Amino acid sequence: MKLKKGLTRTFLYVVEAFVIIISAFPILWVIMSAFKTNGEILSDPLALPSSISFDTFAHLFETYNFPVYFLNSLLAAGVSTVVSLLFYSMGAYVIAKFQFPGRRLLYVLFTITLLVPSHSKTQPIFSLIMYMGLYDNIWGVTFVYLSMGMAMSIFILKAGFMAVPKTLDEAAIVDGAGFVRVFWRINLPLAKNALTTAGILMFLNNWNEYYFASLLTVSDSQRTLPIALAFFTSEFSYNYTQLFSALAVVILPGIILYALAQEKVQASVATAGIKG
Amino acid sequence: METCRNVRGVLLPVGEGVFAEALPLRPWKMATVSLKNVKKIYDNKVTAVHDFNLEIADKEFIVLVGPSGCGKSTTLRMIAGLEDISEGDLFIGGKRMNDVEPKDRDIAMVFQSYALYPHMTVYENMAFALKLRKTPKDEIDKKVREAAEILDITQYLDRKPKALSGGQRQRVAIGRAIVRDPQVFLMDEPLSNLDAKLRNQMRAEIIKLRQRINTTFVYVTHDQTEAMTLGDRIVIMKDGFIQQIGTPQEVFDQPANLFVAGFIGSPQMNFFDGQLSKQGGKYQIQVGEAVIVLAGRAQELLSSRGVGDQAVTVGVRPEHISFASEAGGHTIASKVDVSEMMGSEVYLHVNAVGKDVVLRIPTMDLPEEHRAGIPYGTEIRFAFRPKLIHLFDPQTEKNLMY
Repeated sequence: MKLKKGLTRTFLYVVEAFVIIISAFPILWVIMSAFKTNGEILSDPLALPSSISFDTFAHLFETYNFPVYFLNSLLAAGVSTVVSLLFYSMGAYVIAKFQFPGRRLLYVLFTITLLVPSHSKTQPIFSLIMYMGLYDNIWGVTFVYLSMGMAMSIFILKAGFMAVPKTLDEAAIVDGAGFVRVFWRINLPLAKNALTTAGILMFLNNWNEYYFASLLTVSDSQRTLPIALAFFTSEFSYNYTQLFSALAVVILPGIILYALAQEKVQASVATAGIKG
Repeated sequence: METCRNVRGVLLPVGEGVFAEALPLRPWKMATVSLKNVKKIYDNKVTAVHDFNLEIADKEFIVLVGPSGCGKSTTLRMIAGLEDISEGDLFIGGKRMNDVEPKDRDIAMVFQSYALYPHMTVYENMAFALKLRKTPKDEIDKKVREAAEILDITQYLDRKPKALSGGQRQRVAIGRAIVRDPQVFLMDEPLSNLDAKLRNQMRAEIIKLRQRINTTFVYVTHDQTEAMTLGDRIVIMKDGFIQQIGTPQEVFDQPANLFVAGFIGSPQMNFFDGQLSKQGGKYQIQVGEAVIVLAGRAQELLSSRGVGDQAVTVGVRPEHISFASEAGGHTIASKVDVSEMMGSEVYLHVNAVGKDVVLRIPTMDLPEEHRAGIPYGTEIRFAFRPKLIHLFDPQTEKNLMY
């Protein structure tokens, strides 16, 4: 009995270790390598860096347009996330809390977009952006990002709002709150786990998005980090230190953001799984 | 002249020797509630409330009571404005309220689940409604603190609901309603989430509260004890129909039908199959072997209604049955099943005329050797008190003397 328990436990640890290694190691390796010299990277890829120096990062930001790329990414990912969170939460709230004809159909239509490959939307999106005069403009990219996480966000947010008891809405109504206040003062604050989760997932997706950013921008001043990175890869093919420090700059914000909100995301994914 | 406001926001002169309590609190507000032919039909064509008629007087405490699914909560929610009224009219303070938004009905509601906003502190919970009404800050503060004082929750004002016990949450929920100073106070099973001891305590507190904030109450419960102890009048409901409206004494003494008779009173009223007949100008009933001549008032009532010989359901409350020492024409023989010692009284479950019958006997009336309980299988005889016998028509289930 004891032996069996021990074996199960060992097995669990092995699996856990395996998952941690394959998911965390590449990130650690990138950050580690950013501090190593080219020679160190090539001769002993797994060794720790011999000295810590932020010179390469400084170099990156001084020599290249890195601050611009960084800001562009922040703008495109950040603005689109905030605005779409607002819209999606309104939509998800109504679907979660109100009975009306066509409610299910609407929800299915929203979530079914998950099954449409985003590349298949290339042509219409491209024409639309051209028509709006937003080609080669970071706002055009932002605009496209607005719609990117819709299916998933509505799904998560709906579960989040459904978890807010209906009596709270009723208590607020009797207290004198109208439709907007019930949403804004009661439901939004109480669905913050779902909001955080949907927000982080959308932000990370948009932060890493490459396809539409490369399709819709040409000039250097409108590039986002993933696009800039692609250029670096060819430019720095001999300088791995530079390449890795650029990579580190791209991946770190996402990791920090996720680490900060990890608890809420987990809680929300758990409820979405039950009530979605 | 310098003025201040009391709990209810009434402007009072200061320094004139006038006590806030001595003033009529709201002379201009008459918080009567009247429901006329109110009906609730849900989308799926289920009728939850049929033709509900009730006039609630100003400052009256009305209790809606009945088993779950009887439509009592639906009725309350229609008064609150949380459910649409399918047919009929609702008046509060003389104004028709059918199409008035809940927030404009001047009502406050306490929910069964308390429905405290988890992301707000106790203070914010209580201040929420006033903030929405754009009440000045210092006035909100004053009202919240006064209500907290009344409910003895001042020390918890900065806590979140999560950090409170069930009883404290219930107080906050009541406090949230008090600060509003509503015309009508609605309570939807406010005590049913509390444990038995706390429930008794809070019930007493609600009676006290009612004396302090003298306003109209509509209270929903499934617990007949709560209904009896709290209500000025009780509305007993079943399957969406009102069964009886009356004071606790009335519904207890004169239940309109079998359902009310069985619902009000604990332990439940005993029912026997009997035969009513007129012998020598006197009504008498036969239950099993026993023949009981009815008391004077019953004789008058029955003959004035021209009731003839018929089968009846005889209802007798457990406390209206007494031991009979010797065999006689009016006594019934039985065998003891279980004897429950409750302290000052004993609930005797006996088997008589093929039925389970409960007797409620004061402990001091028991023979010395049986004070601790009467053993299983003991044969005893009992008799009804003729004045306290209820007769129901087995078909219509109506009280023949109501």
